Amino acid sequence: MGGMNIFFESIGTLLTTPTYLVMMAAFTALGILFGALPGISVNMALILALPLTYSMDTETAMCVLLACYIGAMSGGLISAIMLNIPGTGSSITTTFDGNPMARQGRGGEAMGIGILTSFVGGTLSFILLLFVAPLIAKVALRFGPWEYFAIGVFSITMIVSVSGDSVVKGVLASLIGMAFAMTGADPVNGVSRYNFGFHALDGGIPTTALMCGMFAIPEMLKLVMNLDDTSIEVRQMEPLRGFGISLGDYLRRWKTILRAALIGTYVGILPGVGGSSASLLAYLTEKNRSKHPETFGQGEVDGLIASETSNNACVGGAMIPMLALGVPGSSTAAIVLSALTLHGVQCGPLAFSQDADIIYLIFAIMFVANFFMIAIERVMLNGYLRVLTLPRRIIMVMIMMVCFVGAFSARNNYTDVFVFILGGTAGFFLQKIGIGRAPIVMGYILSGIIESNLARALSISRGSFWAISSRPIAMAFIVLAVFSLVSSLYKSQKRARAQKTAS
Amino acid sequence: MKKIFAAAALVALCAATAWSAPKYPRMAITLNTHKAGTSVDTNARILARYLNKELKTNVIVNNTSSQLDAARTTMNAAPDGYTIGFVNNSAIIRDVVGATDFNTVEDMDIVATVTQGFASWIAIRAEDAKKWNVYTLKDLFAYCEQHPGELLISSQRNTNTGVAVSQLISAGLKVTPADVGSTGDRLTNFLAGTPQIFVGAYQYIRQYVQMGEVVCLASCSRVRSKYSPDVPCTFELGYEVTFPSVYYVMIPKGAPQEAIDTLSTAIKKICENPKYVKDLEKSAQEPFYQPYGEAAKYLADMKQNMISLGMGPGYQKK
Repeated sequence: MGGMNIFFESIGTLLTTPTYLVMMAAFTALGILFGALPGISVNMALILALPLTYSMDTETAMCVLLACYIGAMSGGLISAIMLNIPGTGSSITTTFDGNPMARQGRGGEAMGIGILTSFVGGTLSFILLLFVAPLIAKVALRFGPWEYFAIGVFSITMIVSVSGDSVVKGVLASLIGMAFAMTGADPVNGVSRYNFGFHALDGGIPTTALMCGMFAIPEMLKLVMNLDDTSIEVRQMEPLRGFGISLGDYLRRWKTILRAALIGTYVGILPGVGGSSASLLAYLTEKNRSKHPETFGQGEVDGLIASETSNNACVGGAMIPMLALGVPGSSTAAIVLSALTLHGVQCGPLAFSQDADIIYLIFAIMFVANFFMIAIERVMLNGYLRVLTLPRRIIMVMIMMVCFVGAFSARNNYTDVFVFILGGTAGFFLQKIGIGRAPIVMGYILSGIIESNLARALSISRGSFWAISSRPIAMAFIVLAVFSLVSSLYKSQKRARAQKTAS
Repeated sequence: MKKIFAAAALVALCAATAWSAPKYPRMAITLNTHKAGTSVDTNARILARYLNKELKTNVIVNNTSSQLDAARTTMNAAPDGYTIGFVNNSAIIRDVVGATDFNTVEDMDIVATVTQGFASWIAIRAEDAKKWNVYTLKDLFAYCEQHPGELLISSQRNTNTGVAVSQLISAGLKVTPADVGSTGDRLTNFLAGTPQIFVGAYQYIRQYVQMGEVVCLASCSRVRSKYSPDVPCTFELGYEVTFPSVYYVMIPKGAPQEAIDTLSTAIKKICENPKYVKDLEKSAQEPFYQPYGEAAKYLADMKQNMISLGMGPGYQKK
């Protein structure tokens, strides 16, 4: 209970210290802006904020960084819903239902639900963090390379479920994504592969440039070629009241919310797996449980809730191994850990006793920043909706400018701009033949987890692949992966037969 | 007339300002380094903060995807003195084993070495220590002699840790190396029980040692570390297993000597600054200044030493 006392004292300190309040409000807003802009990743937002913290005391520095982190993670939903361009990797699944809702004239409802559910997901994971962080951290230790490999394989097979009607095209899309991920240094030996002599690709194809390109350029090309059949000039929208959903309607979905929050927190705990995997797993869990899975991808509220709840719950989850074990749960958490180190805070199992003040202050900052996030986004919501009423051609030009800058600035490398253009053009043509962008990008992201963990697992097992059979958690995921693939094939065959009968 | 006078005064003011302005640096300096969140990045940011003050200019940390990328970006930058790189000797290891197509020491100018740290400590879990009755490094050698190849030792190819593990194996430790990635990954896997032997930076296991969950057997160094004074070093135990991590600043070949000298002098002053020394303690590093000329020789000798140990291409695939 000592920890809870410190937590509540920290809340009190935060709420009664104007400097902390101002910093949290300002950097939450900045984080939301960065998260909303495609091409500017969460990591970039933190890297930009980090030097500002050098002259600050530890508490203020944490207010700045964590508020920025929370804002950026939530901000990704804005461009995902409004423009069908995910602002962050973990917002890819938000595009599946969020953007269709916007195209149906329900943009306000989508944004409101997204904001509310981001807040709820974050809050639930922070509560878990507060009460059971050191205990849950031990869970991360039960997952080794075989388990991560199996989760990666399972996630890849699940991607197929969101690939439309053709399982073959879904698998092909994932494989294309995985092929892109082979470029660059081998994760084990460090030898460059498939860079075609371009040393700028030694670090691999940059995620930000590829993701932005795959989503933004096809949208722009569709606009230019006038292939976008939905209304280009969006109807004038009424200002949204509340969050676009009644409390009763939202609470009726409590199981969806809880499941997504738990999945997001749990996946966030596993170092290296990430928010994109969390949101994908949560989304597909809901789709598979739904009585009407065919509505997912057409503007289904449950899909949006699952995606946004889980990706914000991942924020709290990623903090758990960082604070309790001293191992960052994500690349973003690594930056926060680096900042803590710079300010003399040593994370790890003794942190909860030796640096309890700072640790519980971190919990308190995340808790309070979450409230700033929902308040700022709600206040700005009607403003975002007004942006939708601008002609799409103007919005797209602005977005393309931001994307070009974002693609370059990730590594200050012109090659990344070419990757953005080429990747996007390839995405456009692949989409025309029915190969989706989301599976390509997800395949690309997951490939790193699969390859590096397989290499590590084989290193530990002295080259024996059958060692996986002695890992029950890994085997469970492999069995689920096989089941998922077979199930998708079966459903696809069933649909094809039904269509044939109908015609 | 008044206009001419005003114009002349303005020109004179500009000339005076230009005359009194420092010759170098006149604008911001870009410092290329490893990915954000890595220990190299942390050290780079600490250095950048002090360089800001010393040089009275902005030193902007630019994160790249790897140390080799940072070195290459620096090597290919304009040699105007406004782009520098900050890496550690892991970059040289990759050069030696043939994982690069350029020379990490010879193809650029080394401004100065900045810090060094004992890159690796050797540790086992307390429950394993009890099970095997292994409490010293000699005990571990003896145990592995009786159970050759049974124990796995965490490693990461083409890094300081990988070199330390290779040296341990060359010294007679009969273990099987398992490449399980970065220090964070090595720690997680080690705490879960496999690999059984951890090799990596002390700050990652410090708290576990304090809690009694981990037993630290030795630091891979010639002298004991002040961060673990009770832990013997490999040299005093009779094992030639020493591979410090050395961080250094590089600049493109052909950069103005003025820039190199100014930077080197600034780094020297920073290394003598007690606040900087205290900041380095957070990442278990200590100042290790060697000026231009000596730094390049030191790193070249280190590279030659690696080659003479047989660390050529394919070295760590054995």
